[in-house]
Amino acid sequence: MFNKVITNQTKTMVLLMLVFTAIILLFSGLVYFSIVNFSHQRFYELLKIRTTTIVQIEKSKDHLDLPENYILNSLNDEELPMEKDYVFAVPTDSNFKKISQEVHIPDYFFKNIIKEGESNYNDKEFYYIGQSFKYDNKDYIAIASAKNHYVVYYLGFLKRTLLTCIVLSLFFSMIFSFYLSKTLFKPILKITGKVKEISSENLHLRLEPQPDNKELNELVDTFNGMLNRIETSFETQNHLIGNVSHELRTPLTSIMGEADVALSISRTSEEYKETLEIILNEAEKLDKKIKALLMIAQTGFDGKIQKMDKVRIDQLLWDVIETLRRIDTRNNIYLDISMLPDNPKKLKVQGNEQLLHLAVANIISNGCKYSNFQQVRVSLGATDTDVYIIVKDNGIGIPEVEMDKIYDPFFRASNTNNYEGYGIGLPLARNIVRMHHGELIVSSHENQGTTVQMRFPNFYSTQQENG
Amino acid sequence: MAKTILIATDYSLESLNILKKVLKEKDASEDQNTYNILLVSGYDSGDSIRDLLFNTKTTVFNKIRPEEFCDAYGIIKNKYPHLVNKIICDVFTGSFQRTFNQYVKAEQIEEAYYSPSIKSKGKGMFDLIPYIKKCRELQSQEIKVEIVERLPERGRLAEIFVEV
Repeated sequence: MFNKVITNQTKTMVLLMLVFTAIILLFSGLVYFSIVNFSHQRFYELLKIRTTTIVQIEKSKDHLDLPENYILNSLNDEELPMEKDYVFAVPTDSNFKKISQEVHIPDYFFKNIIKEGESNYNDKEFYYIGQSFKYDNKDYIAIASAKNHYVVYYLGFLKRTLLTCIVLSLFFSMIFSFYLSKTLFKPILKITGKVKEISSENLHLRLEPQPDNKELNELVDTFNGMLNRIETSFETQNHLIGNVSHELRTPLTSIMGEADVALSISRTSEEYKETLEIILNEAEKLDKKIKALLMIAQTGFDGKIQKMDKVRIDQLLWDVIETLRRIDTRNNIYLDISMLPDNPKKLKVQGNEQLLHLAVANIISNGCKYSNFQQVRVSLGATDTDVYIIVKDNGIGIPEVEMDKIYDPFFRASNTNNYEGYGIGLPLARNIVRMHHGELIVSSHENQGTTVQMRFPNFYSTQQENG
Repeated sequence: MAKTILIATDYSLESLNILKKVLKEKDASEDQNTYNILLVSGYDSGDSIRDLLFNTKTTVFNKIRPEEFCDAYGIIKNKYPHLVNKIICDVFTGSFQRTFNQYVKAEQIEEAYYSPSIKSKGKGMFDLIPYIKKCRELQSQEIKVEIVERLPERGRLAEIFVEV
């Protein structure tokens, strides 16, 4: 239960609130104490002016006769709130106890005035400042005192205001931190929800990039890349198993059928010989296919390990076209090299040759198949950073409404019923292209043909990116 | 020394067919020169003081030039590296013949190519062909470009591979 509450979201919220509170308290304290300090200083300055005035007034008198122990409030007009001014002669024995008791000012304050010429003191309400002066070779002390209304009333108000502000800002900071932590973690929660949906049954699902969130988009891209690799290996294996079982089954069925027919009734030796020859022929075919399978396994790609080498795309295209021509002589492929770059280095791509071969062959054979073996034009070009392969056919095309589904595995467009296929080729090709950090774009109009544009970053730009 | 040639464009991919044809011709005639290619369109920068103050060439190009266009001329450049010194995109913002003549002089343009089927329209662009035709200092030549109306790859880089 406790662990459920202490999520990263709560932690972020609490941390944010703590930071806000600390900053608000720090600054409120700073404001309060600096104002208190300033008001003290300012009030003492005012009192000092008052003291100086008293001294000057007293000095200007013709005759100053003050009893040693008495205090006089010589100024009738109160300049400051509750102002009280005292002027008295310093007792000969320097004992201020009597005066101190009368005016309720501690005697060390008087001693400080005598010692330093000037001193200040404050109790809870009153502020005092005193100066000593000489007149007719006699020492006197003048003290001005007043109530600091500002501190008493205004600072009280400031204190209340600051406290209210602190409470309010804490409340707002709580709302803000809650909102912020929720906003920060919302895309992550969204991604987590989407990731939970993805299982081996729907590996074609991808995470959507979050708008204006670079860091999370990197995570999304990385995750999508991983899904691409997993899906490709899954589908390649499925594809391979499907094809292999079909390919192996055909000669086996033929062998079994021949043997069955031969055994059904007794035959002449000539007939047995003929049957055995057929069986041997089919067995040889089987052997060849198994050898080919072994070769595929040995040459690197087993659906898991992917060797990345330098691949020359023009060479790859020639190989693909050659293979497709051998598979079906009706395949009519024209390799357009009119845009072939002068510098062959620009045609090199870092990738797995078998996978690239598989992807390109899939696209071209689709072109041939769906255009009823009309000419398919394969063009090649390169910019300074990318290699482009364009496969253009004039076939049946893809209906516009179905364009968004073409990458779904096992999806076949509504106009492909007369053609054989599993609906695996295009998604597989796209995944392979994506694995090579490339891009595959299909443009099509129904009954007008399809153009597939494949882009691969060239070897040197890939190196620079990695370097 | 590299010669400068002007190609009237509307920054559509089919307009690059003019460039393709020009370079193909020059390659076939074993031309030994190298060329600075100016892909120019007319652009009316308007009367808004804000636009005049803050619009740069980059903002204008962001508006009128698709990303694929640069990749597409990159492909052509890689095809004829011996002929192309550099390719520059530019806009002509004047509205008088003499301004255009000055532009031609300042950029030291020697030849110009255009196609009547490529007409700059929309997004503030205007057609340069009348200016090119009227400019006496400029050797201009018309190039025929066929435009297929319905093309699956319209707007994609693949369009550059359509016509050879």
